[in-house]
Amino acid sequence: MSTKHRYDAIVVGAGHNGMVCAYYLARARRRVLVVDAADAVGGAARPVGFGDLTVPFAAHLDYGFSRRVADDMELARHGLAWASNDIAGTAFGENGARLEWSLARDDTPSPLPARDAGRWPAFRQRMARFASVIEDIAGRVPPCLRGDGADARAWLAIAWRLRRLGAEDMREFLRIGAINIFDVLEETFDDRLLKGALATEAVLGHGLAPRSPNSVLTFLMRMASGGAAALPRGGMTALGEALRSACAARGVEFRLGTAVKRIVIENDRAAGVELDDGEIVSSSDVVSSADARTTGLDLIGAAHLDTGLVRRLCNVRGNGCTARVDLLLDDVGGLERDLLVRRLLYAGDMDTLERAFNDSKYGNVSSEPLVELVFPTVIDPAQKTGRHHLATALVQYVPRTADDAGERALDAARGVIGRMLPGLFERVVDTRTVTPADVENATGIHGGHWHHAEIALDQFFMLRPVPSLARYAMPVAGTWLCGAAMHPGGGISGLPGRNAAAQVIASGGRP
Amino acid sequence: MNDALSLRQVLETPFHARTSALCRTNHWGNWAGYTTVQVYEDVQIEYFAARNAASLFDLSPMTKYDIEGPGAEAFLNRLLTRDVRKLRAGRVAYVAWCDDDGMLMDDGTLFRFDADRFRLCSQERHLPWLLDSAIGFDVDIADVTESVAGLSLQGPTSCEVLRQAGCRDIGALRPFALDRFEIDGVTLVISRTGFTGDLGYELWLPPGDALATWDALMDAGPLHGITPMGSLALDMTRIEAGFLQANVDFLAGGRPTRTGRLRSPLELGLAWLVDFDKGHFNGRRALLAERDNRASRYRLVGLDVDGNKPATDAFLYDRRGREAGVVTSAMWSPTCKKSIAIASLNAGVDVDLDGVWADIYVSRELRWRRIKAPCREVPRPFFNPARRRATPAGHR
Repeated sequence: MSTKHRYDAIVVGAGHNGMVCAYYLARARRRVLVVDAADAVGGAARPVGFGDLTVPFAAHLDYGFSRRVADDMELARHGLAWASNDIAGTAFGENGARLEWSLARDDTPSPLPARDAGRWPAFRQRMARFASVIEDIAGRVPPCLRGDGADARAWLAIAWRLRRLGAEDMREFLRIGAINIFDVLEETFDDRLLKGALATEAVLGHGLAPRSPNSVLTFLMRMASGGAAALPRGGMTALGEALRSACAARGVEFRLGTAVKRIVIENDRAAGVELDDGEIVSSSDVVSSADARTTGLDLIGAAHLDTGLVRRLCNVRGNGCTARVDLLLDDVGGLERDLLVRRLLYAGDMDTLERAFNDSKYGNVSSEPLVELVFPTVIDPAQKTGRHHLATALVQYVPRTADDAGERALDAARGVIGRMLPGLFERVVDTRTVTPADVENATGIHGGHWHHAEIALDQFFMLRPVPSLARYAMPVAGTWLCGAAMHPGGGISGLPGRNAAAQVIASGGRP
Repeated sequence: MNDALSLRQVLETPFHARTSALCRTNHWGNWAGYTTVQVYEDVQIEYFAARNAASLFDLSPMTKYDIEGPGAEAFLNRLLTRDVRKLRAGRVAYVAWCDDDGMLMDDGTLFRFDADRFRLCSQERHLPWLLDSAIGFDVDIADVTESVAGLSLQGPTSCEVLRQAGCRDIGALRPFALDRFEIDGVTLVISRTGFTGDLGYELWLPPGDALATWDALMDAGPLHGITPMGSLALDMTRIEAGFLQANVDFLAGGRPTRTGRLRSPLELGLAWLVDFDKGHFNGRRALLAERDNRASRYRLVGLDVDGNKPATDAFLYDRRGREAGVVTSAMWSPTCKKSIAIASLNAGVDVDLDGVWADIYVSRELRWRRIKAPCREVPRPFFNPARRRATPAGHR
């Protein structure tokens, strides 16, 4: 097989998961080619021009790139450094109320009423213990339910990991694991701003509100990846560059600016890819970092899949509702300087989030959305490559299907940001919006969702994205999935790419 | 609504005015939501009409889907286990389709009118599955069950009846072929197909022409013994023909609530319908694994059962008394003069080597007797007359 094909593996998509997967494959001595339709690597974090600056297309901060992957790939040696490895947050509430917090640190958020302050350490430590279970699960390839000895051992290890929590913690873990963050926070804390800020950590990037089921899971996922919000020096695009450099050092080849039209299948086995110019590049394995539906229906084709699977792929929940708004600023003078190096969050309280979500459920952009605002050029002066400063905001909830979603997200952001930083919009010289629909159009992620598929218990671990695909293999031999639709999901962790590579390597073949 | 009809739970077929007038037993059954005659007058008379003369059966409730478009052939080739590319225009094929696990969902007949137009007929309704299967294919699917009436004219004189009714060239129609004919000014499609395993035809026509066509056939047929036939007599002929009946010999996909109750085509003696070399189709990978790992759990066989008592629903045992399978369809065959059965054997059982016998319970006026009837495996169809295949048909 190996001598017949030009490559051992072709990775479709040069997003971070595609490159991580390519790296591990190359490290295992596979000849690997990465193909991407865009002219630059990085996927949703690839560089685009904005005024005199270069900004990442959509990704905004790093919420927890896997340290293990970063170490394996020696990303520091390939130029990755951190302008900040934890941008602490300031949440804004009504009447000028503010709260400072970071999930990544032991410090008690402040200011807090005495009872909440007293409860914080126990809450955070318990959540961190629960998160360590999730972290263990996140790093694993989901085992089969009816598998071999290795699968049985994996299940035992997970059960043992749970049991080690102790009776009281385990009971609490099972109690809250599948409920919503609203109930958990409501029974623990009084301070509305604290609850709003913590709920935001649970729902940011997800099509969830605090009262939605599974929002404890997403909170624990957030904690499991460290709970920090970090900014690479040079911006999110620098992460892509470091990944590319690490790949290139292992001999991975790149073909950029060339879309993959389809995966070539011969005798029910991958044989390579057909590029948009008609060229066929042969390969014994093809690993797609596109979402599962796109990979199945567009790259492989329904004709090669069974109807039941096609239906399940069409029903994967993954409608993005997080937009990005970039503001090009002629100046940041006169603004409250201390705030400009923090994550500024307008969360109000949990009901504000819930109401904003309700609007999006019916296709509307809320006039009072959740906003996370940072100033990359202030946090990291290296990014100030021109005269202007940059502010970037995530605006949630902006439904994919809303009309004029970009304009309305910008309008809503203007109102909310005006309350956090009065006068900011007077300094804006240009704006840029990226809606979920834009993400879908530009990256091919069906639904434009950060995680390709909503993170929820029914789309988690051995059920992600659909049960029969949880082990990174598509049914056509030699076709694989390594994108965020795969366990453990998006958030730029690199873990789906790493897990997928492990499966490709374990499947045998070369060398 | 005060229209009492709107509350009825069953529909009437386009032939209802005739079938209800002729149904002297008032014995009706529900077939796919339509009320249909089980027995008109006497099941034996109706059965013998099909074997010795001509039987007329209302098959309008048969589920029919028109499948059209540039992607129709590719769609069907992925849906069905046979190679649809080999089915020429103007031909009909017996087909089956599977779910992702390679389990049979249903069987039916596929009509090819031309390159891009097909009709799929089956007992059960499958529109959701067909629509899901159409994702990614350029094809239109329409349920035409209500807009196409169907009649089945079967038996040795069926060809002659059609000739008398005005289809002069009907004798040239080959088995599994279809063509357009005219009866009494009505243009209709006739296919040389049927469920009786005998010479016979199926007529497909607009519902508005149903009664006129029925009358034309009945007027043309008296000298050739034309007799309306109900579902019970049809079931006798289909067992003799060795055909499987959905939800009797296998459960149609979607029916069972318990896992593991579906059967694969390989377990139902339908391996000849499965073309592994044509490219991908639904269930192919599962069926390939079943074949290569010899993982079939059952084997469907035809049995010749000793004695004259039908082995209906009988358990089968081997000579050591171990359970060997179950009978799914059985009858005393008046034509074969044998007790015949279609049975699902457990994998690994050999009827003759293992001394398989059927455990039959017979009540003689409430005195029950248990018969341990030895069985022999015999090929299906049990009844397979040469006239079924002869072309020109119906020559005396």
